[in-house]
Amino acid sequence: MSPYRIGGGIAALALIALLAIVTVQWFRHTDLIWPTVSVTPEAQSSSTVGQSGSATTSAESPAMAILAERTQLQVDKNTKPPTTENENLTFQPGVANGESIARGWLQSPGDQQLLTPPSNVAGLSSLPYRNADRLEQPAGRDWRSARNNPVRFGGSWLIFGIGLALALFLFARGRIQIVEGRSGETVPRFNAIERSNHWMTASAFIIMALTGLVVLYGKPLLLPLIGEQGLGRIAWWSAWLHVSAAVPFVLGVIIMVVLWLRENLITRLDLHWLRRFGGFLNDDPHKPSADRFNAGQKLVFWGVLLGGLAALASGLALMFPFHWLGYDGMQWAQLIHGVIGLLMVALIIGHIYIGTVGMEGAVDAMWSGRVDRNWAKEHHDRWYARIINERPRRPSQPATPAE
Amino acid sequence: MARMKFLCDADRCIECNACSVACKNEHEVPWGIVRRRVVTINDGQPGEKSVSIACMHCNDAPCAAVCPVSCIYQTDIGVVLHNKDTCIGCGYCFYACPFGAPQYPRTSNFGTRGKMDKCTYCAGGPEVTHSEAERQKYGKNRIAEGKLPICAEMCSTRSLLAGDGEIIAQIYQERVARRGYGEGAPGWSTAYADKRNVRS
Repeated sequence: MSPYRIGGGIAALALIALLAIVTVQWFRHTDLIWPTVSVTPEAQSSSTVGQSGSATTSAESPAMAILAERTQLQVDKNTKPPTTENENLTFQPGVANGESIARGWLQSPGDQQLLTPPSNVAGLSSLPYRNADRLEQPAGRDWRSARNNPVRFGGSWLIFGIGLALALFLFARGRIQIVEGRSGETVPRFNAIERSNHWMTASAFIIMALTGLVVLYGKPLLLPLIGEQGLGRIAWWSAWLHVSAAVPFVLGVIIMVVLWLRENLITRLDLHWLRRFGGFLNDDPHKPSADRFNAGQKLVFWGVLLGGLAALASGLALMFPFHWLGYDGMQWAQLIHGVIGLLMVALIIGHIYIGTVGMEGAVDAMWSGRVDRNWAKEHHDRWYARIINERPRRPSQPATPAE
Repeated sequence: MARMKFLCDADRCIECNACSVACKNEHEVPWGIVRRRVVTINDGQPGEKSVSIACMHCNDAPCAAVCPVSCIYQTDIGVVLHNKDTCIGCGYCFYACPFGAPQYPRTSNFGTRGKMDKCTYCAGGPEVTHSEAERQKYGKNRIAEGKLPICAEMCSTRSLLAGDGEIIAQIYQERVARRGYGEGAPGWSTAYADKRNVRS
């Protein structure tokens, strides 16, 4: 058994464990916010109001008694004088039974007659600020549960799931070898412009992926490790880097369109290639025909182009909040941006896999720019035949783009 | 379980905006930021109502749930506070907030807003109580003095009530019974209710 297959098996086991953890967390996830900091009287005995208040349950803050007493001042037609000031309250971290307090609030009894169905209410405000006239938008709670549940957990499922699929494939199939072995002779595949542009786009994408993941998963993953201050600092840099890296990414994708769009148009060869899964499943040297880019590479190209456009549009909306979208629009823009980002991360994980670990000789194309003749013959037969005919005697010269 | 709440009696609000002004003055809130504002519904038409609105310090606060850096927290009297040192100004709390409470100073371009600012229920923030740092970042801490929020305490028509949620609900219900009308507490179902409890 090759080391690649063993590695694939180990990775698959680890990913199965991660998927199981995510699934359990998803089912256990309640998302309920419960209190963390307490206001308590420094010396309860010295507070006369605190003592006179009704006996508080152990889960209830002692400060409630003092403040409840004060609340009574608002009773209509009251003749009571103002209370003496209580200087006995100080902040103390830590609350016992935080979750039960929060659950108690949720089932607050006695208010039923006051409650009207939640609705979207807008009015008029004398303030010149955007959204100042909006009284209520209950959809905020829906956006919150969409972002915190399907997007967050679904995204981790997607990423670990793609990883698991690739690990299982590596375990079952092993690394895709050059069937005829390396010939030792190379042909030029990508010129310097194509490669530098690829790596500029790639590094920008990786920065954006990591910083985006910090914003989505920082709270569950990083917060327990580095604390609130550390997370705040990292997230601040992430927000800036994410926005900054968008510039080289978009530039890179535009250059890719100029360089590669014509060769990435869908042809009938691609259907055939996809139906045979690129011949990746066996060591038959007669793989399905492909020109310069096969259907898998075209999938990555169109995924990056269309996904990049959608991410750019939604990202611009998030960068200029409420300039041309309302509440609904902003919430949808955030969800779309998150989902597109996660899908692109999954796509690029597949792209990185097949370009490095998954296939012998593939990484040379983007690294040195020259690929082995046998690799070219197997995976890109039509392109290989074409460049051999075009420049049969000078294979060492770097190729110009096909245009 | 007892907790702090706001209740605005829309039948009593006269849109004097004194609550907003008192809040601004008490906490020295900068230009462009409104922690409390008055919204008029059906302006100039029959049934016109004004409602004073700020952070409602919701149960299971959506802002805290979506904050990517976990800077928003809730105290055991139900007050939702936040840490300005951690905040990254991403704006998520504004998308989640049903009441438009979070505010952002404009510090730079490209959506990187400044640190979020919102109503603290006059309870300051995570800094040392009554410290200068707390006053500058979050405003005065009246709760630690045993006082209720300034907006409600100085409301001239007692339209805006603050304090123990059960007591202010009782005050409001007695009023409604006495005068014979009242349309319910604005925002309470969104802020405090379990969806199952809402009267339809």
